[in-house]
Amino acid sequence: MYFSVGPQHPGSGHFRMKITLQGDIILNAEPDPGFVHRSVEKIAETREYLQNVPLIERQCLSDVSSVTLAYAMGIEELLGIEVPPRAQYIRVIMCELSRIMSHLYWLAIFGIFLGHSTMFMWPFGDRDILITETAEKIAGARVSYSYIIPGGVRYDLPDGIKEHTMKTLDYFQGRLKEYDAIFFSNPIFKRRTKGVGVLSRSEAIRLGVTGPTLRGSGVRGDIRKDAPYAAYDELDFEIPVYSEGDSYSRSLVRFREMKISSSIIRQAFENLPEGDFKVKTRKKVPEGEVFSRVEAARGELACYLISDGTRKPYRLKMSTPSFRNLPGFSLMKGCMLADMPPIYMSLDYWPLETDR
Amino acid sequence: MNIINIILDFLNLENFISNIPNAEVQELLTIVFVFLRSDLFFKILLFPGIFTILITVAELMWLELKLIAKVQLRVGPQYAGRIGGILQPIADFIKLLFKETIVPEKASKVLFLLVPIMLVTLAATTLTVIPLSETDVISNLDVGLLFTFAILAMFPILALLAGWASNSKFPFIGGIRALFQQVSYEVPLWFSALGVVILAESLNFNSIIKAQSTFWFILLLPLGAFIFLVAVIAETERLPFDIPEAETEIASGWMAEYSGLSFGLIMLSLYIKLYFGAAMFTALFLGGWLGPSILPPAFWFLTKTIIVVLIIMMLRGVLPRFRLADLLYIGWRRLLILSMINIFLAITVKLVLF
Amino acid sequence: MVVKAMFSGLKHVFKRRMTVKYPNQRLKLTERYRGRHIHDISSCTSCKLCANICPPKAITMVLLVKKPQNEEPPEKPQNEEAPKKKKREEVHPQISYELCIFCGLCVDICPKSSLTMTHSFELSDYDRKNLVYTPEQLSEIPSEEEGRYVTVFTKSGVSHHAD
Repeated sequence: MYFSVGPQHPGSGHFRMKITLQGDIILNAEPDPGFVHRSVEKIAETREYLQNVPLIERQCLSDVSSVTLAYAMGIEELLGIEVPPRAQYIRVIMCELSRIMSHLYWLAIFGIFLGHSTMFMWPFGDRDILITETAEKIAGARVSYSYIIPGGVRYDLPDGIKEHTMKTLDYFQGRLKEYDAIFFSNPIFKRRTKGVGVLSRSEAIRLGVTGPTLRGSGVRGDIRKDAPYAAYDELDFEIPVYSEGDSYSRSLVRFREMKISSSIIRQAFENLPEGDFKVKTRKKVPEGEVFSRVEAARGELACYLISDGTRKPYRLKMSTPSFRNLPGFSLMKGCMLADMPPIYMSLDYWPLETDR
Repeated sequence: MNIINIILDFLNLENFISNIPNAEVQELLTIVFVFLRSDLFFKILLFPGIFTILITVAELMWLELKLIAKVQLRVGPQYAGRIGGILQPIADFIKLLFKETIVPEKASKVLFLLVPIMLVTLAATTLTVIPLSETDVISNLDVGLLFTFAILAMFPILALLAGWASNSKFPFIGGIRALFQQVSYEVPLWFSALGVVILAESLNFNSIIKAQSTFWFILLLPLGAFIFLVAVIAETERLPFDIPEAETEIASGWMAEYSGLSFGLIMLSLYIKLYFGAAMFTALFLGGWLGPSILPPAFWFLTKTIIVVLIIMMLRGVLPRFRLADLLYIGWRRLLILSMINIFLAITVKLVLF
Repeated sequence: MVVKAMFSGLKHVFKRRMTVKYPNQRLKLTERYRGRHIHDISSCTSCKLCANICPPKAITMVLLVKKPQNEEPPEKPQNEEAPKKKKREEVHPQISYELCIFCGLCVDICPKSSLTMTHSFELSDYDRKNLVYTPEQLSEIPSEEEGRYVTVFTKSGVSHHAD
């Protein structure tokens, strides 16, 4: 029997999967992206470099800072300017905060797909507290705040932000313990995700997946350690790696990343240097091509920029981590229909990012 | 003290009847009015009959919405009714009355519209034998427990019929899953109730409750009580045994094509089944209407039932959903073996204590 | 394990709620929040930088609606000391809130700081034409909305919304 978990379905987001069933076993699961295509890359050719920042941050809406950081790093390399160290540390703080926010969004959607409505409400509530504290106080808006621009950041940190953030992070540690008690140690959750959707180490490298999907299969790959950018080489943190390769280990990777991000933010606030937060840039960018990559919440995000000497870019191409993880849908072959939500959610697929 | 008597006296209809010339019609109407004034009609209509069931079920719906909201750190219903949204379920039901009942084009119309009515009727019929106190029971059958299980066996067929009569893919899958689930959990339910019957030596509800005057059966048979509770949650399709209604996989299962009054009746039948399951648990294991005689026995029965319902609803807030394969595994392999062990334990307790 | 989860859930019944009962209560916004603009007509020099940088082209420059005046405008002097500069036309920004994305780039780039942003975000209307705010409408300061303002953090530390 063939049916499509279509775009208008309470179980999929804006995304279509063509599933062929026989009884209760899935024979074939084919992803069909393209429902939310908004031609961001073409529109970006008609606007100037600074005007593109609100445009491209809306393509990947849950971790906003990583996308603008990749774009800004590419332009700074073409212009040949160097960003002051205070701006580098502030960029690290914003990136880690948006990583926590993206992982909380993932946790909420995972809960509701498994039928656990309490796990849907709690992370959204905590996400609201983090957004209200940081993004609004520092940057001015709540979700899409356009804070990182080529040349540094837009405003300086306000007064009293350090104590505020420390209080919030202490509160957040308590919340993580509650999540552990009610969700990650839940016997039913473990039963549903252990041994489901196993991705072996060689298969993961061959398919080319990135992010927590890769780290859940035993490969130690993280751009923050392999090719450090923006003050990450001065901070001390570890990378969680689990070797089983099933949905449970992928979920645990993301859970531990939230704790590690909190410690990175604390370290960055301790070592924050004084100085400028912005340098002046020119409007005309010299000719050239540049390739820059960052570690977004879902994996590796790369930005390829070709400039022809005018005020507008000639070609902007972004390679998003959800697009790279699409071959992971072949894990669904041979599973039961009830195993489809854990596999789909443990890949952390975000349709807005794939379709751009 | 009978309210119906007072109303009929006020309307003074016997006077009207004696003015009718036809003698047979007069006899017939006299018999009808004798029935209306009797005790049985009062029990069926008001207490513990239809009126009580409807009010209790409406408040159970409100309790669930409020409790789940409190666990999730939100406020539940707050605008309907002056205090905390108590009239919210009644407002929901009135809203459903105004909606259009859409019957799909290729569905079999008679079956489609008949299933909700049968669900509500059967669910309410099972409540006729459960006593709220020693005299407040509609019919004190000597085989009361067997009667309830006979009617419980009808529910899987009705779920399958609802899914099949809709003539559409998702309700069809949901109907078959509902059939699997409800059939496989009836056997542990009956076996753990058998343990109670062995201890009490009767199938009459009142006798079972009176046999618990020294010890409640939950202290003598804890394993049986646990199995009964799990099987009740599975029979009434609540989380974590929520498969036929799984929203995110098959978009609300066998109830998907219903709208308007039919949908309202199906939701009503689900909550009546929940109330019935909790009431059976109270009567069999927690000692029914027994309690200190400061307060009336019906009060003790309702309190214990509400505590059982609260535990069942709390499980909804904290656990995710099972897979179908796990569900059937638990039902047929684990619970069946445990309930057979429970029967041996019941025989041992009976020989030792009584 | 299940019992641990149930106790964790039970603890939350006795905590404070997270809901803000809008519109009786409203969330207190921070100072940097980007809402509706305010334009200061006297300090604007008509440089058109804001219209050039707006990403969705929501700002257009228009002339002010002239009020009928009794007195004549002051005369220009005949001889001027400096070489003649071309006099700039006095235009002011008109913002269409159908297109505005509230990014704040126009506020950053204005050299005289005559555009600032307030906390007002409830701008909906029944007619599309009313969403285009002329410079005179932009110069009115929005009044504060009714309702009790609540915030996320209490004095003693972080908790849920103070109810």
